[in-house]
Amino acid sequence: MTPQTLRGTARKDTVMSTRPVGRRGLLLGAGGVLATGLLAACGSEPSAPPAPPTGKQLAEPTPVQTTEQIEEIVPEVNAAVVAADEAKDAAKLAPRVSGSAAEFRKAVYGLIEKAPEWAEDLKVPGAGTIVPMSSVSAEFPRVAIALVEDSVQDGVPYFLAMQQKDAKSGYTAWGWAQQAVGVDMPTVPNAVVGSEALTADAEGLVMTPAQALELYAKVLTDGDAADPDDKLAANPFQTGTHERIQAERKELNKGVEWDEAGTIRETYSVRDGELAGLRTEDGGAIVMATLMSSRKVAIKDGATMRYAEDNKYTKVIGTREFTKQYVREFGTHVALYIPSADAGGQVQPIGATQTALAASGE
Amino acid sequence: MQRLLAVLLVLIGLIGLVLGRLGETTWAPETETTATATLEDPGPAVVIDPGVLYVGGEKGEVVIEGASDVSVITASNSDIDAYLEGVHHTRVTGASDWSTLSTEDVEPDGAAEISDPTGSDLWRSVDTSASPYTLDIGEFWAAENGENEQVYRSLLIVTDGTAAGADKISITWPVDDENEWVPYAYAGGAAIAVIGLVLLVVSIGRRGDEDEGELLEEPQEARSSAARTSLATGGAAAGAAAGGLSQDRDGSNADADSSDAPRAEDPLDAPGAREVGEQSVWSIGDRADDAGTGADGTASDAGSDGGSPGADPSGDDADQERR
Repeated sequence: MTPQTLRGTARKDTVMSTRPVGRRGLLLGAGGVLATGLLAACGSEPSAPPAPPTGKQLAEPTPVQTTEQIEEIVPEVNAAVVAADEAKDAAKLAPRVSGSAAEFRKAVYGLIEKAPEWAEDLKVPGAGTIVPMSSVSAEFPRVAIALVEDSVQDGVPYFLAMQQKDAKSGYTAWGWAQQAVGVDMPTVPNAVVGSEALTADAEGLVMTPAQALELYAKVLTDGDAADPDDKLAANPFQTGTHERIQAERKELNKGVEWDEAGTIRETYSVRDGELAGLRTEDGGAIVMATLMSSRKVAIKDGATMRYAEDNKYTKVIGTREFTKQYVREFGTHVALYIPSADAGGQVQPIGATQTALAASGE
Repeated sequence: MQRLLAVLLVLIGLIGLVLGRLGETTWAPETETTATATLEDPGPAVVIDPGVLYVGGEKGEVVIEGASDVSVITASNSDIDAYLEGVHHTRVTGASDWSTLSTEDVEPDGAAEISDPTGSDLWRSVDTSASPYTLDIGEFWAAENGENEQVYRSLLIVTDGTAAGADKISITWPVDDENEWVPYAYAGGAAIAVIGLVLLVVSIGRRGDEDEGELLEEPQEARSSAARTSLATGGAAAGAAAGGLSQDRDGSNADADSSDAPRAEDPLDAPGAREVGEQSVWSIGDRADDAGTGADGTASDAGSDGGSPGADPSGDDADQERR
C-alpha cells in the first residue's frame, strides 16, 4: 500500500462522517432518547394497592384459649375465692366463680355462721396452673379445664372446671375436684394443640359422659352392685365415702342387731347443666360434673339417735338427738376419665371434692 | 458545522445525565407511602381487618390517634366478630389507593358503648398507650409468621369504650421504588455525550489536518513557483526537470514535452529539481515515475492507468490540487 493509498482512505472517512443525513440522524436519535425518557417519567404511575393478604389457612383449629390466657384467669379465680372466704361473702366470688361452686360456697358460709369450724372444710384451688386444657371449639359456651395447684403448700392439685357463656362474658369456674391420689392420670394434648370439647352425649367413648356420670352416681349410691359389668374402676372417693357410711352405720347400730336402730343411705344424682368435657390425647375424655347427694339416717320407730357431744352438724341443726331422721346434704364436683371406644377399659374417676351444704334432723 | 453538531450532542448528553440524576434525587419517588383513614363517628371500636397491615409490605408503622389512651387488642378473628356483635363499629378493610384506607361502617344502629373493652378473656394481647399509638408492622408480622405462623389477625382498637375507638389511623409502608426511566436517561445521555465528544475530537483533528494540509500546500506551491523561476533562469537540465513537473500538474501534453525533454542528464542533478524533490516526496515520486514513464516514451500508457493516482489528473490528487 502506497502512502498515496493511505491518504486517500483517510480522506474518505472524514467525508462520510460529515454527511448531512448523519447529522440529522444523530440529532433525531438524541432527541428521541430524551423524549423517551421524559415520556417514561410521565407515564410511570404506581399500581393500585393489592387486596389484603389472607395469610396461612390452618388445617386444624387452634385452641380458643392460650396457656397465657388460662394462666391469667386461674389466679383471679383463686383471688376471688380467697377474698370471699375471708369475708364469708359469696358475692365476692363473682364474676370468676359461678354456678354450683358459688352456691356451695354460700351454703358453707351459712354453716360457718352456726359452727365456725366449718371454715376448716373450705377447699381453695391455688393460683398456679399446672396443666391447661383449652377447647378448640369456637362455639359458645366454651369450656376449659386446668389442673391447678392446691392453695395449701404441698397439697394435692385440683381439676378446675371453667366455662365461658358467650363472647361478652368472662370465664367462670363452676367447680373444682381434687385429684385422686394413686390413680394414673390420662395424657392430655399439648396446650398449643388444644382439645375437642365434648357434650354429655359425645360418642367415640366406652360410654357417653352422661352415662358415665349416671353410672358413677349409681355406684356411689348403691355400691359395686350397681356396676355388675365392672365398667367403673375403683377410686378413692367412692371407697372413702362408703367407708364413712359403713362406719356411721356401725356406730348407729352399735349394741343392737343389724340396722335395728336405723338405716343410713346416701343418694347421688347428677346435676344438670354443668359439664365440661375435653378430649384426651388417646381419644378418651376428661369430664367434670357436679353430683348432688343426700345422706339420710332413718331412725326406726321408737328409737333415738343421740350424740354424746356436739359435732359441727349438730351445731348447725341445734340438737344432738334425733328420733325420725338425720339428713346431711352434699355437693360433689367430680372428674372422670372415659376411655375411647377403640381403646376400651374402665371409666376412671380421677378427682372429687365434696362440700357439705346443709344438715337437718328431727 | 461538524463542531457545532458535536457540541450540541454533548450538551444533549449532559442534559440526559442531569435528568437521570434528578430522577434519582429530586424527582425520585417517595421512600415511603402513607394511607390514612380519618374516622367520623366510627363507634366505640375500630377493627383493622386481617392482612390490611401487609398491603404495602411486611414493614412499616401504624399510627392510631384517639381521644384518650388507645388500646390495641389482638384475638381470634371470630372472637372479635363475636364480641362486637350488636355493637356499632368501623372496619378498616384495605387501601383504596396508596393514600387512603378504605373503611366500612358496621351496625351503625348498634350499641354505642362497650363495658370494659380491654377486660375480655377473649383477648390474646392488650396493649394500651397514650395517643398517638404506634405499632411496628415488622414486629407484628414476625409474631404471626415463622415459628408462630398462624392466620393473620385482626386488630381491635378501642379507647375507653364510650368514646370513638379511634379518630385517625395511618399506615406507613416503606417504598422500594425508583423512576424507571433513570437508567435510560443515564445510558442515553452518556451515549449521546460520548458520540458528541468523539465527533468533537474528530472535527478538531480534521481541522488540524486541513490546517496542516494548507500549510503543506502553500510552501509547495511557493516552491514550485520558485522552481519555475529557477527553470526560467537556470540551466537546461534543471529547466527540463521543472518543466516535466509543471506539465504533469497542469495535465497538458506530456508527450510533446517528454519528447522535447533532454534524456542524457539526470534531472536530480539540476539544483532546482533536487530542491523540489526534497520538499514533496510523494509528488516527486509520482511525478518522477510519470516523468520517467514519459521519458521512456510510455506516457500514453501511464495516462490510461486509472489505478495510478499520480497519473490520473481527475483523481484525488486533482481534488487536492483544487483545494
